[in-house]
Amino acid sequence: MAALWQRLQKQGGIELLIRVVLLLYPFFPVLDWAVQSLTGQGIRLDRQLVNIFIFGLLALALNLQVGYAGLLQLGIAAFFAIGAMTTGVLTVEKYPFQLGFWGAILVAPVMAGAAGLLLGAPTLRLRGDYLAIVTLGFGEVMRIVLLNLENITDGPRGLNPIAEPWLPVFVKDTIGAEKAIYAFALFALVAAVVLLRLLERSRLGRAFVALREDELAAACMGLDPARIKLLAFAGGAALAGLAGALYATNLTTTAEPNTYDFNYSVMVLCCLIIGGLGSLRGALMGALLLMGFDNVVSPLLTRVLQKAIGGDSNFVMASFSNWRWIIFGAALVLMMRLRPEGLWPSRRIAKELHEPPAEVA
Amino acid sequence: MTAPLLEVRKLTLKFGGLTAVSEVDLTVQEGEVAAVIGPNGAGKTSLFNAITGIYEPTSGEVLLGGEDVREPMTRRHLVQQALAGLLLGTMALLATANIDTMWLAVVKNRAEPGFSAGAMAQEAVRYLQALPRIEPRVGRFFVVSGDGKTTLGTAKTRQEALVLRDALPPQPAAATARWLRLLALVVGTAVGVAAARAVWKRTRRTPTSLARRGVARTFQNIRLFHNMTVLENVLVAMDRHLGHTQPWTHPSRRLDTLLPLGLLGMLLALVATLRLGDPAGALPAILLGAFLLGGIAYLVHIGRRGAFSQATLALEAAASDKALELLTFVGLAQNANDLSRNLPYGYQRRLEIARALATQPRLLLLDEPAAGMNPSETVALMHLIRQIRDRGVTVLLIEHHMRVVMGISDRITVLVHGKRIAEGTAEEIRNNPSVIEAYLGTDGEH
Repeated sequence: MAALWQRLQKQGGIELLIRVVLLLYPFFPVLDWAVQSLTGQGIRLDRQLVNIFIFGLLALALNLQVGYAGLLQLGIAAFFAIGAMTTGVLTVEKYPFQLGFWGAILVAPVMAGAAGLLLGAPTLRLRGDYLAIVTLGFGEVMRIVLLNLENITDGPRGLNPIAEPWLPVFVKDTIGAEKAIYAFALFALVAAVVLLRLLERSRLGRAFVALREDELAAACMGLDPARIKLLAFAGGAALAGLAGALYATNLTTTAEPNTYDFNYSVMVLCCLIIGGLGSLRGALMGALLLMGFDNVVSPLLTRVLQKAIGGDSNFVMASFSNWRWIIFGAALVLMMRLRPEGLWPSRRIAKELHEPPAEVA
Repeated sequence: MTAPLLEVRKLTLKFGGLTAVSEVDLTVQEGEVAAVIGPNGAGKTSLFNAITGIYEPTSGEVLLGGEDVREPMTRRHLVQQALAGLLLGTMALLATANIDTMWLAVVKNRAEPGFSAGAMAQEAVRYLQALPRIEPRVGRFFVVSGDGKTTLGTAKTRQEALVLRDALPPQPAAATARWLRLLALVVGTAVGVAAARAVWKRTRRTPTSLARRGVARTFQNIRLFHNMTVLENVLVAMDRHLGHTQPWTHPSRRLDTLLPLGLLGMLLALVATLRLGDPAGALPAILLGAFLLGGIAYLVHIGRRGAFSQATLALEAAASDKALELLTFVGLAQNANDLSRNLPYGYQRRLEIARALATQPRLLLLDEPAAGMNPSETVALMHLIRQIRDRGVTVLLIEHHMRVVMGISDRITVLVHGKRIAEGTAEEIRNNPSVIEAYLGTDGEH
């Protein structure tokens, strides 16, 4: 206990608290299960958490592109959609592939990564706003393509049902598919965090920083900007594809392509900006805040609101989720005004943002 | 006699109607310190930019050790161009042939047993040739002509539809559709190859490729990585010499941690599956167990070991040592962990030199290294440049400080209005009337 206290003092309370919560994550379904068997009514926290994990993966993917490599990407939802659709096509019963979840989880990132390369290669020379416009366009085009390739994607209905992942009998009998997805999503998230942390500290991470700071100087030092940017683009897209595969499996459908619209991409970007661009912790925190708000807080508030005005559930203004864009928007404006580096930024990016204007030499 | 280290032949650089550099010749021998001087706007920095691949010269050649600096066409480039063509051609073909209906004809006929990958490929080829195809729609199988315009018959099952299709009198392929698809394929491929060739042409000479060939430079307006530490600045430049290690490769410790835990995962899965009487699920269970437990072991392993393998750490440590040695060489060792933007101006210039040296260049281009330095710093800089030459690095510099230029240069080239007006030793340049005229003007002008 004394040692624990010492660590608490050394590392700061928040850090430790977060570690404890992180360690608890794998046990949430167990907790849920216990509550359910005791009271007969589950709290279903794990259901929400899976969404947050998946969204966290997506935020990490975008962080790789926007935060690390400095490529302003507004079409991440397209790669998410490609991952989901690939999973759908490869697993649904009406198509002959039927690779199942474990096969699809390997193919989906590859497909999304390839799409990332296809988008990245011709847009390498674009920067900032121009790249943002192209990727925004790509995102919208991909949505419309998926909507219109009706024979392949089933258009607005989405491909379903996506079979639950194959599991060994002993796993299936004990924890069930739903909790297995929870566990796998958590595993994927942790794996992504560990690998990205490595990347951050490696020579590649160093190259990313150099490229963000001064591309020309970096090129003159023998770094290959094209290669490094493509790597970030493809890597981020592949991670988004993985998230998409998990999303579709969790939902048992690829959902309507309109789900993967511009708003979705912006939501992910919001996560980064609120949490802190270029920071893993920030991205995850942003995902937790935004998705937590969307999935947990907002339904709760809706209930309260509807009770307050007398239970007319058809009244549009009474649904709290309709207010969320206003709230996110206000949050973004406030963040930009008060703390542009985000709630939990990486030290380096905070410095970059607070850099005094360049002196005239 | 061996070829000079750098040879610039009749290099011209035009920006629209403005000729920045006009037919300049420049030769730098290995081991010497050469200088380019000239009044402001003479095109010195433009010449540097053309040599280091930042600008593509309008005409003229740059040779390094007797070889053209532009990357030659290799088999790899050819393969890349062919692939780009193939990719774009296929995309154009699929777009023209309508991939959506193709899916209907090729993939959606799954219901019949024996519809294998081979059969699917066959069906795809038939579709692309615009031969009659089978489309399953609303519970029935339609036999449709190649262009999709006429229905040739319907059947309840795919088998019947196949029979129906085979029984048809030999149908001519829908000629227009066929030609259109071929056209799309050809045009797409051509455009893809052309685009890839254009990109290749433009990237034959890049700052990256020049840096990799051993040309390093500093910048007139300092371009450090300002938010990185001094040491990191140097390490970035050493990146190329760090080999192929990436963080997720762990050559030293990978197997001995992963293998046992992966095996354990397999074993556990196997035992559990067999005990539960599910022998059919044994193999996938083993794979899954190995993947998950092995994966967790891998993550724990790389997460705990401060993230890097022995080999990577050793490489990084060696690189740090080398970087520190370079920093000591330029006199910045005590600032190694400072942010580079907090350095005084003169130090920043030195750091730029250290960073450039870290790429292990054969030729170092210094763009006004003494700008903004006080006299004592300038003397130290001259000493440093001589030391760099003594390390075996050839130096080419632009400088306005005549004391520096005259003091250390073995050979001086004078540029005025983009043209070379003189070349020679310091003594020759000092006494050259046209140089004096360019700098001071003729008597009549005042």
